[in-house]
Amino acid sequence: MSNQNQLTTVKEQTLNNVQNRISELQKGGFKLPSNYSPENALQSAWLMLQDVQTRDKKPALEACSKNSIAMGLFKMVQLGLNPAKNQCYFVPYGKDLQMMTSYFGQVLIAKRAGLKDVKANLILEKDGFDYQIEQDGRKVVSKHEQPFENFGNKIIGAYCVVTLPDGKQDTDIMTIDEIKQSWKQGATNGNSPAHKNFEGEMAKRTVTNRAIKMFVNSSDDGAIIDDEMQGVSPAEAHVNQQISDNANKKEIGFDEAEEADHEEVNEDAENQRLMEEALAEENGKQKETAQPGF
Amino acid sequence: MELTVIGTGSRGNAYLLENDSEALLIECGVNIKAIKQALNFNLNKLVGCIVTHEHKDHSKSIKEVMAAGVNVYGTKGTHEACITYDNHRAYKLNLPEPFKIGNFKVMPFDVQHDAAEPCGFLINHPETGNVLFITDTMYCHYTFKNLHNIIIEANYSHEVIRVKLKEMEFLKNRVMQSHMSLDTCIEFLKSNDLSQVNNIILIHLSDGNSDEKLFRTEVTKATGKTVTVADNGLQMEINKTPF
Repeated sequence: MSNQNQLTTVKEQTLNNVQNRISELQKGGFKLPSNYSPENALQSAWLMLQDVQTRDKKPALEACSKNSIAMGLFKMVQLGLNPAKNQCYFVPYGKDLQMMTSYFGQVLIAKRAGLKDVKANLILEKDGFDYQIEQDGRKVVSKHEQPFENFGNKIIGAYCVVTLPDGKQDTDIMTIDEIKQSWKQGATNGNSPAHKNFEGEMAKRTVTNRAIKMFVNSSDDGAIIDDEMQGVSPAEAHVNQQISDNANKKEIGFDEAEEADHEEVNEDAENQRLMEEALAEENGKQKETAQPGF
Repeated sequence: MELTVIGTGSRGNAYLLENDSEALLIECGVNIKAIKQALNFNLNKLVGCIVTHEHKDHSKSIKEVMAAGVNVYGTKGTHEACITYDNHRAYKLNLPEPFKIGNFKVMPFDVQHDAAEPCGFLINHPETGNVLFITDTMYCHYTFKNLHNIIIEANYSHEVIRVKLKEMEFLKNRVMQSHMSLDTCIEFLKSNDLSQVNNIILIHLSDGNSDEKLFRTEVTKATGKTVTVADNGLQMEINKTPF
């Protein structure tokens, strides 16, 4: 029970932190993709996080630092991903919780960035497959015959065709060896049930990931920025926000009244002196004028 | 009162307010020789040195200045970071408690910079009136009453920094979070009553991320005041009245 309570407090704090930070940044001009609700994504991320465990089966919410949890959630929102649609997932590395963009997330980001279509196919043994390289370096599949009988044959490769915003197409082709090599970089060395039982589907994902990576990582934030407003980075938005919240708010200075008092006192003293002098002079004159009388 | 810019910018800052009988050194981020030269080797005139923060371009000669028998005024954090805390010439300031050195009345106030305990100064002298000295800050929390002269940082312009530091996100963020942009500087100036101000002196322009001419024009346009961009070696009269 107390554990549950503890989790609830952590949740409130972390979620609030991230939410506040995001709305603060938004006020400062930080843009999120349109049609994206950070609140919904954060709530479902939180539900998913409850089940995430570290390697030694501890709940990630207890084992990972609050900061890395907040960072992960923040990154998710910044990229506009929805964990309920498996567009991203959370992986604990020791004390660090990492937000990883999934295959679906990558496709989403790519489409948001303007990619028109992404399509992957497997190349099976005995397929009639041919491609050529165009003058500008793009690969184009010139022939891919896949008779129905070939279904079930050994997979020998996969390719992914992306349709760029200008309508041109680009293709990435990988042999099955290359694909398996890339699986070896993963945590399960390509031995997860998914990789073993659905080799074809996983191979398509791998080649898709590679095909759009270049496009996604080299894209600007055009997709999430309104035309009227010039884009500002999170840091810049934060600076703007801080400045508009805190700058030029309180008046300080040397107490003018004090100075004025001094001056007034001085003037008074001066006046007093002048008056006394004048009086003295007058008296003196009176005396002078009076003297001869005596 | 004469203002001498011994050094300005990230290579070293030191400014001297000087009349016939006394002088106040603001910052000592240049070689001690340059400070001595600027004073014509007459260090007796120096009533004190005030330092905003510990970064080397503002405090390089702090120990030499103390060794020359000059009292150095800075926040506790600054003295700690300069390792001058225990020096008998080190005077520790509480923000924003005013203090007096010679005929200079000084009020230190907090600023936003990535240093231990940085501050800015409001300086009052019968000859100069209220002189504001503010540098190395993201923005200023305060506005000030009855200013007569303003010495203020205008470090970078958003337009320039966006283009020039596009590939250097870290540096760009650092500059933005610890220095004053032209826009922030103008906004600050506009928030203050400038009716009695004689001079606005822009200091600490970044070598790469600023444009002297543009900065001068923009600030002049916004304030209608005499604007000077400080260069190393600049000497000018700053007084309470323009004459």
